[in-house]
Amino acid sequence: MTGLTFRKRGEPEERLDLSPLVPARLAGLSEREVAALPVGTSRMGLTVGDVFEVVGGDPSSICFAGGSTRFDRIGEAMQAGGIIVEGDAGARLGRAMAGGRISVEGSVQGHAGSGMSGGVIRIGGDAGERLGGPLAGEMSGMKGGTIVVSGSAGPRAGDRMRRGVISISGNAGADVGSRMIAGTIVVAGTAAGTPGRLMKRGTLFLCTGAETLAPTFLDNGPADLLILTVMARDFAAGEVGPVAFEGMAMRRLGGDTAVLGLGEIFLPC
Amino acid sequence: METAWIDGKPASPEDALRAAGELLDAGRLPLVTGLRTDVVGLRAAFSLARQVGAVIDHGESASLYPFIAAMRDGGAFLASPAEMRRRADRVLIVGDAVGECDVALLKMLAATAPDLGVRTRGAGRRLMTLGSRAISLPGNAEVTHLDCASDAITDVVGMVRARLAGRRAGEGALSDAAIATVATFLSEAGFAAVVFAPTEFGELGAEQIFGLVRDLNETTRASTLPVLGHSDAMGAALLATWTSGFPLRVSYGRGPAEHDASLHASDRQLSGEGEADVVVFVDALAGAVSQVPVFATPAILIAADPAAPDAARVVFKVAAAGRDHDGVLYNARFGSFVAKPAETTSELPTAAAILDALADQQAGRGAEAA
Repeated sequence: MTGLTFRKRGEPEERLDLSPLVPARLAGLSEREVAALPVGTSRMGLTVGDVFEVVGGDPSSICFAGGSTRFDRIGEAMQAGGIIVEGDAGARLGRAMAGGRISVEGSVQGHAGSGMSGGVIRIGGDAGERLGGPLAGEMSGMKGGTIVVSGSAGPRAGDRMRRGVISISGNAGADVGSRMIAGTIVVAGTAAGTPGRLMKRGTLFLCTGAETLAPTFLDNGPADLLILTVMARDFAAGEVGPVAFEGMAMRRLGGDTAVLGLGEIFLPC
Repeated sequence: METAWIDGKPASPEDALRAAGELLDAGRLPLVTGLRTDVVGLRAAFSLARQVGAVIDHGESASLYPFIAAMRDGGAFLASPAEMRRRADRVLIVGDAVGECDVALLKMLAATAPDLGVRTRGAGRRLMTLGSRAISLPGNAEVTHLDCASDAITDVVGMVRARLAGRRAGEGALSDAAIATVATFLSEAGFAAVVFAPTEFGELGAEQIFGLVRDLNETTRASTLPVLGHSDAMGAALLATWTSGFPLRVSYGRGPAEHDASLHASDRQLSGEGEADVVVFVDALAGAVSQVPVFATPAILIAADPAAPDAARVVFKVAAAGRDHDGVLYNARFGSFVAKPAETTSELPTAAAILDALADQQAGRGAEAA
């Protein structure tokens, strides 16, 4: 059985809240009922049918045929199933998702994977600010799951991250891993700003180095650790795929001693 | 006296209200911003935003958000200047912006001494400045200056926190001895005040400084005095919080208030990147420097001193709060709202009157349409 497809009719004139379009909420609805779901964010009261041509199918597998930077909250609170976006996506992609898979061919805006606790997000292009990070006032960001970004990420990726893995093939914007509580972030390119600012625990792999490092990170010297080899093999065999630090000589820095100081940054020797 | 214009031509207030209503009707997502007005004007602006399903934000909220974000994410010890004047025996002035934003506050702290609290009464006051230039202050207060570039201060504060907690730090912009001096200055205080401008250091820098003061309160007493560049933006944020539950950057597009610190920011919406297609801009505050932008979309300008009759599609000239009519305004020195009497008499309508008239008109149109 083929999946449920939402074919974009045209570029939306307002931001759309697509959080209702997840497998659990669409199960059992007819095409007509799906088309009547509200998705607009203005007083115009847009529904799914105003924006998309709905082609029926199995709602456990959803495809957005044509993306937009105004398609917000795709896959929010998703627990199972799959979503494919053929194009770009807007803000809060996969926010608070607990399971399933989201794959975006293009780029996404801010807060992708915000507060997610499980599942996999793959982003073919770039990610916006605060990848996996919390919304305003929330105490923790990403709590589990995996995010893989083929391009670069915006500022504050992994902010207040508590668990899970973020892999960025390109560069990281300013202050990656800020206020991390735990979890792992791998950046194949360079890291701008001051990585790991106020991190308590957690691990940052900055495989092409960092723009600056805070003096509250202390150089522990070369780290020829077996665990790095084990981690690289485990990532390669799993959702993350091959990582840039595999086989690379690394040195370890501990910090941020302004706070707890139990985090670590690995840099090339 | 002309008080309203449509497309740069004089018009009656009634016609201008009608034209403004037509602009709002034609828009998909209005933006109500500027918000340089008093409490009554702010309330009226929020009523209009709810009525027309608008995004609402202060025009200078970007200058406030490093403070708001750091405070709500990590908490903050906050004090009013009047309390610190009477309690603080040590004052640490962090960065260069405080000396540019609020010299009067520093002069007050330098010219007075603590007279409250068992630990600080009669102890005298010592000041320390941490920045790229020393600040000349009157009075007999002892002032120590530590030279440090503004962009290194977040790191330096982190080093002080590490030292206070007994953790190590590497080499930074200040020597170990200088870091020890700052740590001792603060930890030996009966009540320390840390004065800084959050905008200078950004969200993480402000959180670092709030964290330092939180750490100090494990062993002594301390608080911060954040200096904000636009006190009217703080007033708007407080009113927004008790009105909508959120500190500005709110959308009523779907009815209930929805907050997004990025998407609903006025600078994003005014830049043309946003979704707002009609703007209501309020600039009616005594003493505030006008910051009215060139509008990329149809706009309704409600201003005390409009730059030109064609500054927007529809322009209303109104009285300035605290100058032409009595107003209740946020006062940073007092740390809350204060009544400010008018300095002159004026026949001009208030910004609140125009905003209320617009809201009433739109409510009437909505009822007719239903």
